[in-house]
Amino acid sequence: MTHLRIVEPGMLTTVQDLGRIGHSAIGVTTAGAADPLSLRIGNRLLGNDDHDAALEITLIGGHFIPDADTIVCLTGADTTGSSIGDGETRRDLPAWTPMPVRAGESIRIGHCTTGTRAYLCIAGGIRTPPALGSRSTHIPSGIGGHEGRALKPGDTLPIGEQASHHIYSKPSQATIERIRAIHARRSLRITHGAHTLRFARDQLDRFEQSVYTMTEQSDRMGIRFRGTAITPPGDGHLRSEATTIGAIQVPHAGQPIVLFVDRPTTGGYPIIACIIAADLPALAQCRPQDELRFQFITRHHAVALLKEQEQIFDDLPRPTPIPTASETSR
Amino acid sequence: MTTPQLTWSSERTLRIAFAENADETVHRTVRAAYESLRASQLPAILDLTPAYDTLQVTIDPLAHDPTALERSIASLLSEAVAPDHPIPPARTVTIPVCYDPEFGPDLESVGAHNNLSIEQVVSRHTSAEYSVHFLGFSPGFAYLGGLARELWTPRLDTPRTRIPAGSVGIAGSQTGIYPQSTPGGWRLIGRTPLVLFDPMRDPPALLSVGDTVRFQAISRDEYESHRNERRRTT
Repeated sequence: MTHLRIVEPGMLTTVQDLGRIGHSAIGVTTAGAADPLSLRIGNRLLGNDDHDAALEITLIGGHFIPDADTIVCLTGADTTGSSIGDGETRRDLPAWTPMPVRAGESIRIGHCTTGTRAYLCIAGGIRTPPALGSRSTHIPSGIGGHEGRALKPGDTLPIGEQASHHIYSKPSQATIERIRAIHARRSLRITHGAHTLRFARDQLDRFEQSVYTMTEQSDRMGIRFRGTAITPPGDGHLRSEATTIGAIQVPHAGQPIVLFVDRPTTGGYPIIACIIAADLPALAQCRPQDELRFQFITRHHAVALLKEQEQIFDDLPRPTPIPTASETSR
Repeated sequence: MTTPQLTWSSERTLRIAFAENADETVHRTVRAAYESLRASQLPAILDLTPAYDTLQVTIDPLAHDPTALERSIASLLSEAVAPDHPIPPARTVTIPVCYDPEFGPDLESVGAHNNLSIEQVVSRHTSAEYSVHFLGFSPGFAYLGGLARELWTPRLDTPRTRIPAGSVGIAGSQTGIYPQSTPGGWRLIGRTPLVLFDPMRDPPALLSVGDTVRFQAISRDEYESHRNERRRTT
């Protein structure tokens, strides 16, 4: 078995795939990559499954060493000074580009310069034991990933084998620009949420017309904003019901909180709106102090925008096998 | 039973709302709807999240036409919520609880609040039947209905920073068991040696929606031997 050694994990680095879907009835939330678009792009460029797990790196990168030759692809937030190799053989590790790494070589990821989360995808994916069908780490409940926690120096993670004899390519510059534009969006589109129509009309208008600043009190569970207070309906408490990624709850104090990937499966605060799936990658890459606006669109428009975003995958290059004399088709 | 109301709470979640209260009738209806949609095995359904008086259906709007799916779900529901529609019988789960003052530091305050002795608190808590309305908040946490009115006690003013897994508590009109060690403000009255949630077990959660729960008082010795037995088998 091939392994990846964590020399230095960075500030908050976890194993994530596309999440633990289908277990909310026993109180198990999805977790999963905060920016699934970047994870899927990295996986596709490496010829992995969309669902394969990678490292989600938050703001500050780390230092990782594989014990066998492999291919990696760094996606998501832009980082500074990311590199492969040591000493004279040290070379840049550009984003959105599959790069070969030899056994024992260092992979160093720098700080995120724009955005919050970078993904280090690896050929064959990270192969920690799945829990309830997923390798995603949910730190609050200690489920999944590597021992249900953030990575520490000295951890070693099993990784898949490299598919040999492939030619890997990077996306076109136009595709990369398109992905960057998705991440840079700060006017997020929303649809009606569970309780939108219980809010007074003037409160909905006020919400849509105000600018909200993301606060430091934000994490994978919830992203908190500061701005014009909204008056929730009633006393700000409702009977608990299901939550959704991107649902914007308004507790009594009136400052919106977006429920994110690690959210509890149920909650009891009024939901004013829900951020559309196509704009969740932008939310994942927002940083504290960023100023955001929220704009209502219809549900049909939200689906159309998601469809349009999916076209990125049609334009991505896939690894192509090089047939060799000794090898039959694989 | 009024017709369930279907509204979209995002482009990927359909919210089904039943009557506006959480009595046992609406619980039965939510459960009937949940079991019916689960059994339908509609490939478009990614997840089902039942709660007191709602059921959320999560779908992939790219893989399946949401409007067509909403119609199929509405038609399944119209049969499922009929009062004579059969639902799987409730399973009864007996949960052993040690009501030792060390495990139940709030036994006394729950008693004082309701003018009951500690023995009366324990006997009221163990004599009722509870139903699992739904699981939520954290893995394996069951929202139980059926707490005797004379045990209702408000939460602690200041939540504890750490509550051991298996703790049994009371908060307002609710009673429940903490599956994981977490902070919390519930009044603690005892502890069970059972493991409420283990992601590597099948099924992972001890309780499921619709179960009937009974609490059975056990001694400190029985609690310890239960724990030791668990250690030997794991």
